[in-house]
Amino acid sequence: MEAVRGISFAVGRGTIFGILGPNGAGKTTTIKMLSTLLIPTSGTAEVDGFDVVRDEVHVRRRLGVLFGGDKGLYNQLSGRENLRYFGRLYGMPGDLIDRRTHELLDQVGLTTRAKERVESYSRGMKQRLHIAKTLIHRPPVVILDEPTIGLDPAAAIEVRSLIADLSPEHTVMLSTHDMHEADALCTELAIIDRGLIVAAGTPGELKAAAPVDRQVLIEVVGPLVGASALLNELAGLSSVLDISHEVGACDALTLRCIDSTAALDQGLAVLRRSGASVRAIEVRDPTLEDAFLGATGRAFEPPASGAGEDPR
Amino acid sequence: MSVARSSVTVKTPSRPGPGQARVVVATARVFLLRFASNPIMVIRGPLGPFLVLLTFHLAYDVSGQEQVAGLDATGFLVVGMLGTLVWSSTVWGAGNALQAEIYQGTISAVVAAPQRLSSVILGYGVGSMLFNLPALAVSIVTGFLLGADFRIEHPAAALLALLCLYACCLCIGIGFGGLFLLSRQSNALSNFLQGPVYLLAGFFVPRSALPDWLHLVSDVLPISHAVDALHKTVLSGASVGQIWPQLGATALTSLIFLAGGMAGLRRLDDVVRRRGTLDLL
Repeated sequence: MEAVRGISFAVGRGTIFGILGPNGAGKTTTIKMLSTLLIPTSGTAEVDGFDVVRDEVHVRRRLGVLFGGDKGLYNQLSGRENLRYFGRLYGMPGDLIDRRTHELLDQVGLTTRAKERVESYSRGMKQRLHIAKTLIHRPPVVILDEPTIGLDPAAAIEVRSLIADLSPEHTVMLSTHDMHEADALCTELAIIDRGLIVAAGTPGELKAAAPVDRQVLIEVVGPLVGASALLNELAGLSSVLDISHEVGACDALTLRCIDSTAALDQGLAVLRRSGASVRAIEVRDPTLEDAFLGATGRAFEPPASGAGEDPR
Repeated sequence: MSVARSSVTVKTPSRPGPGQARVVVATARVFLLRFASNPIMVIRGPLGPFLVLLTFHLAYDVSGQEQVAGLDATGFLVVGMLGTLVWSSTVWGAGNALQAEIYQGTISAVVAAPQRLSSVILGYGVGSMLFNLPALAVSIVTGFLLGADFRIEHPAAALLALLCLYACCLCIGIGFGGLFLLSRQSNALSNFLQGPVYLLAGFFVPRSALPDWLHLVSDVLPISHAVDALHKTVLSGASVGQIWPQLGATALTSLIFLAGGMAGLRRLDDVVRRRGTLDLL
């Protein structure tokens, strides 16, 4: 079975590059190949200029990898002991390990819990320790596989904040199925599905290419007064393509537009001048979900909460 | 695929591996910290050898056998118990450690680090052996209590034989380490490896009692020669000069296991990474 095929991408130094895709798309397989844990059947891959098959030791020294799931730490050891051991595995001298451990525990907010066994940590704390472990040897390249999967919203926000701070010191490759996470964190993205990259670019470019309309929905209090003239004026706005009007207890207007920000500004200005009171506004810009839909022809299916990635 | 493609020249260290000795020490420490946190393991360690020794002693006593292959029976059993402890440490510490990493979910992080896997296996072996030191002491004390006739005339020779026993077991541990990486039935594999050596290495029955063909198989194992050296130094008062043949045979067979094990580990590591089964239970 081919888990991935024909994948090709380059990640710029100091950027956060996202691999976005549903369960089983090939994200973890790609990460395992880049982190030398899986030898590709064909093709080549380089990390920081080193081939992942021929120069695996060099690749490993330059790479910090956070593997998905809630495992990967020694539960019977303290957070500090975990960091110390992984520092040793990367050949770091004792004094440097002590310094980095101190810095990282502070950075991920675990200083006060550093001496406690990891088994007593919450899921979010474990994931923050995972990130510290990934950074212990100051790798130029960091790969994060589903770093927020299974976390509660507050913990996920904390972890995302840590990830955002990694750039530009580290080049980050982030695998995620979370559209909002990818949109918020990534400089560039590759959307992967069934082992293929189906679209790539900045989040803005991907969303711009999505085959869906930008829309501004405005609901006014009561029926519009002078609706016909008002609709003509709105339809004539430079940013508006066309307009639809739904009559009800509170009239609703849908502006299909080129630029939703401009359409909203101009539309509201027109309505204020007419004396209409705005009750609700909704802006519908294309999302990465729309981009996925456009690239694959089917809707994005996020995994069930806490579900892992593909087994390979 | 290329991650972090840049025009920046990265300096490649001339020696890609980190200090392997430090990895061994750190891994041994991790082993001790993990197992020392388990009270059952701490209690079970010394209690097991005491009970086993007592059982075999009573069995020999009931049969009226005071000598084994011309050696004091109780002393023979104590030496066998030392061999058992060191060998068990090897199987359940060194080899099985990789499976423990898989269960713990840390195997990917360990393999993705640039150290040699053999250093991690060695570290677990050392940690396991250190963890078993109290059991070793209990075995010796039990031997004294049961009236073992120890005749150590050259303590340095006895110590050297004991160290050889440890060293050869570590070599065997590395020899079999790759199998644990490949196998997903680590408990069965551990038991499979553990049992036959009890017989072949002459822990509780003398090797001289083995049929000829089995004696030949026994000769292939470094641990058999190390135990022979221990018998001679601890129960017959042999000096270093008198155990060179056993030490030489231990060294030679250990090197074969070590070399084969290192090559096998690299090969099996490659196989597992091609199959993508490294972290699968």
